Amino acid sequence: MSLKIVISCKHASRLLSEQLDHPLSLSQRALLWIHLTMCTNCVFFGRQIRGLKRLIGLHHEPENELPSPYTASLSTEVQTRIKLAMREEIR
Amino acid sequence: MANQPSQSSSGSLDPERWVDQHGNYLYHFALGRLRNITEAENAVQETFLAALKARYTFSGKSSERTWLTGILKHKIVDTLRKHYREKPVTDLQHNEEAIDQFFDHAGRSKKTLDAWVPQPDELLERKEFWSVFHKCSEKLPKTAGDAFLLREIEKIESKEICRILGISMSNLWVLLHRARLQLRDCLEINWFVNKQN
Repeated sequence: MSLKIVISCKHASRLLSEQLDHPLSLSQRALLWIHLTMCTNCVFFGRQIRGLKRLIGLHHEPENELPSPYTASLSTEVQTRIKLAMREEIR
Repeated sequence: MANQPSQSSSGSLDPERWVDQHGNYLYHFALGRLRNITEAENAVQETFLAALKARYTFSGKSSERTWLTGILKHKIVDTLRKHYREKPVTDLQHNEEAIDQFFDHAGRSKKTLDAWVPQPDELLERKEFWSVFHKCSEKLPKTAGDAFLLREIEKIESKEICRILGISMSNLWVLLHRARLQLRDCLEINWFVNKQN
């Protein structure tokens, strides 16, 4: 009987990603921990996706949102359509 | 007596002013999340109509724009819900394959990762970074991109996202894994310096 305690980077990266969304089971955490002691690649991967999650979350707070990357405006046709619909609504 | 928004002139609401003042902002907000012009336009229209109906509930505690954006966020989720009801997810296998691309036959990472310079935390204010981030997110395929957006940007609970997209929890994890792998990689190529380079 063989006990597989060494998981692949592919498996570890999946666990690192899932960890951001739900608590891992004890065995998952143990397997991940063992892998991370042997693999700096995955240590960096984990740090980077956590850092990005934090950064993206902060950026999209209303007070932090920077000017839009889009340049196209809401077309005048659509603006007119909306205003008309709103006038209908008020009546 | 109903509270009037503080910016209204002489106590009467001018809905056209809302469109002029906030239309583009809301449109860009919707475009960023729906990545579809027609859906974004419709979401903005629905938002203004809903806001009009609810105008006397606006307490003025937040700004008009914040209030309108709140309504828009709901409309965006409604749009996505409708989209996935009409076009159920079929590309889950592609996402699994895309994940596989990052690893060799033995499951080892194809790329050597190293510490990033600078750290993500330092980038909150950098407009150029967000421009790159935006381009990278645009490259995410529809389903993975929507899942990522709902999770990381709208911060919706996983169970709810599954309901919106019509997928299982394990499907969601695959989508998010794919999105994170791809996004991380794109940002590493286009922005972050890998210490060993």
